[in-house]
Amino acid sequence: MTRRIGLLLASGAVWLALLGLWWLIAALEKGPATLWPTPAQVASALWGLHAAFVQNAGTTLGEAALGFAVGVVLAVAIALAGERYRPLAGSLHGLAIGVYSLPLIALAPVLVLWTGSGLTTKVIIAALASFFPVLINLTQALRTTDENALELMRVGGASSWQAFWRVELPYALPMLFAAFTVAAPAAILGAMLAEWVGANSGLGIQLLNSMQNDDVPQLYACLAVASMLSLLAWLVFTLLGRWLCPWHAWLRLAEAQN
Amino acid sequence: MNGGPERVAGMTGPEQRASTVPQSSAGPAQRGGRRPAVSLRGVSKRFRLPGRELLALHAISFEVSGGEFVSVIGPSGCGKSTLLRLVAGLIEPSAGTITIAGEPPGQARARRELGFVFQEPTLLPWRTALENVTLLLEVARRGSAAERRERGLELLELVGLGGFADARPAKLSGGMQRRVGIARALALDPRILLLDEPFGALDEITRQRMNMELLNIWTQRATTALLVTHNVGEAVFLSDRVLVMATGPGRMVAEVMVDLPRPRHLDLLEDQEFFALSARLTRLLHSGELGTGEATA
Repeated sequence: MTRRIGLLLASGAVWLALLGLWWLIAALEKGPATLWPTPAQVASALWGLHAAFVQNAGTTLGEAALGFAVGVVLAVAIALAGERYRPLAGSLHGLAIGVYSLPLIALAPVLVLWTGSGLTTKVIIAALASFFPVLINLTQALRTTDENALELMRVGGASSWQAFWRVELPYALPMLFAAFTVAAPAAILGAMLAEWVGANSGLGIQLLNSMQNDDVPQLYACLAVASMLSLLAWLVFTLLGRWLCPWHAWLRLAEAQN
Repeated sequence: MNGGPERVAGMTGPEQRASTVPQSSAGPAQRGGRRPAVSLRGVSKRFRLPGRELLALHAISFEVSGGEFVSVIGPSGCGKSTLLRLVAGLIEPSAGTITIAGEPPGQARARRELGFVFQEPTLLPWRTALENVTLLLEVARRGSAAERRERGLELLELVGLGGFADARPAKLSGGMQRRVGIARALALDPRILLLDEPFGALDEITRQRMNMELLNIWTQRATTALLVTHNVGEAVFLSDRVLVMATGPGRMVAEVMVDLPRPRHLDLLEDQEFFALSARLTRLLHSGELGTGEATA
């Protein structure tokens, strides 16, 4: 426990040092164009515009959450279909990789042409950004289920659904949550990216506006809020995964024992 | 003392086959019975590997009578685990027939007549010891939740883990994990217990203790047991009969009756006859390795 506190203090010290360095550079920067606003300036921008930030962050988070949900449902469906009907897996994954390799920044304008600059574009882009890590991780997890555990179910006369619910899914859960920790920040990024092409509110559009207005402190504040959101998304799924799959740690403990 | 190794398979199980009863009257559901519990006829298994075919098992034939304890020993790579998987119906033979009480293994499995104990404990880490034992009862939708729990506790008691019902596998030692595995295999009250080197990874002392417990369980529950092992002493200690395999391709080379009295205890391990049988089996294993020796079956 004391070691943990020590680690926490150490990482806190690193952050403080970085903040100090930032402040130092900002203080030394005397140019007319303030490329390096001080942390205090950024904080005051954040505070001064907090109502706008809350609203914009809310918009982006909403779009990202919807897109994430769509992406996850899609990825889980494709992964399960691919594993259940193995011959399908190749073409499904090929299609998925094809879609994933489309540059989202180029896809966004096309989607705006098709669906307008409403919610749909953002949800689609966020979904596309988040579904791939989920698909890859879940497929990998399903393929590496303990072969003996599956044979045990077969010897016990279990149906493939029973084997799925009782063995495959629980075994895949830790990796699924690991995928969520990557996919959720990706969905936020995707939503912001989609806002650049056209939106009324959202962090992405606020970022774009502050850039066009040369409002550097606000730009930094946008950055800070966006990374906070991503960090929060990561944290939520990390903790949720740990809470729902404590056996992941037990498993390693058991393997170390044998 | 013992007859030669070349005895006809299935003739001297603990339950003698009564040839006066007509074949058809022994229903498959009847425990023990005249019909051999397990029967293999000319079973071969090929595996297709990239670029070549591997003949893992060649023309294996043997029988196991109801209530008998039979061990299969052989060097690693002789296909003994494959043999057990064939009997469980987890894989299909390339040639020959396998029957469990006169039926194909798939049917015996569907009727939940098989219990399988793996090399690794293979416990589900998110389930407690009790929940691991009752897993297949749930799958079979057998009894109410309370009944399953009661049965699970009973089985854990049987393997000496009465106090560990709520422990997760990670909290159990290797030996305890294997006991849970055995309790789980017994949960469906199988006719036939298939054991794939269940104690291979344990130290010698724990292994001997586990063997003693396994023997007690087998005696109490009157199941048929087919054990695969590379440990000669274990095979002699537990079995009525030991089948010796050789490698390349995996085949039966000898059969040795173990006419040691039952009930057996750990002091049997110091018995002269036990030594003699172990020595003979070891010789057979080595001669099988060289491709010579007392080849039969």
